[in-house]
Amino acid sequence: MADRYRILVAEDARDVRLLIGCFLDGPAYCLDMAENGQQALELFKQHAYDLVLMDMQMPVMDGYTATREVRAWEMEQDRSPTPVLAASGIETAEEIDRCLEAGCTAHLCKPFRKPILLEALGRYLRAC
Amino acid sequence: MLDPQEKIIVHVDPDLEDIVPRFMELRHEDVQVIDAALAAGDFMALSRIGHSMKGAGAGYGFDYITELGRSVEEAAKAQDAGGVRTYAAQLVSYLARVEVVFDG
Repeated sequence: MADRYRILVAEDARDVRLLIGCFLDGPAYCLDMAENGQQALELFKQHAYDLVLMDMQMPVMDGYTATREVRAWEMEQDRSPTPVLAASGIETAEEIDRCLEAGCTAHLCKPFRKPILLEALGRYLRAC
Repeated sequence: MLDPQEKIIVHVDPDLEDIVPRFMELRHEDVQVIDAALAAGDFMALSRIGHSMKGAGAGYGFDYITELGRSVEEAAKAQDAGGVRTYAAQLVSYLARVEVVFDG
């Protein structure tokens, strides 16, 4: 188990980035923030992350594309898949399928509530 | 529909006290951006603002902002300028009357 989990947060909305930063403030987490999928992909290739929290609706590069790129890069590099939690304001079965088909590990519905976010992180970080 | 005279008390997690003022500033900015987008007939921008309000509000404890955001996004997607105007007026009214208590 890691002493401190490194988490990549890809989220275009400033207030949601602030909120996530506040929810995950403390010694357990080290956060890197990206404002779109392209930035997230670049950061992902530069650092080893324990988990990615990926907004799916973002400008420049959306979360679906970024997650596909992340999975393709992991395959090229022969790396184990990093948990990617899809964050989406759409809660339909079609949307959940779309996120999973893109390579996401699980789907989290926005807006985030702190207990639900912490529970999801606890579940998917456990294997680290 | 909210009573236009009534103060609205929202109970928020004290851990969020430092970031709620910025959240409220952004909602006031949303009002300006909605007005500009309505004037320009930019329904794509209106949909984005609604989506953004929907995605943030309840996380901070402002469930009504999430509801309004959903309504703005749906009205924008339907290119319903009158609907967006109505929800924007409700946002203005809400922001004028909301009082935050950090004990949630």
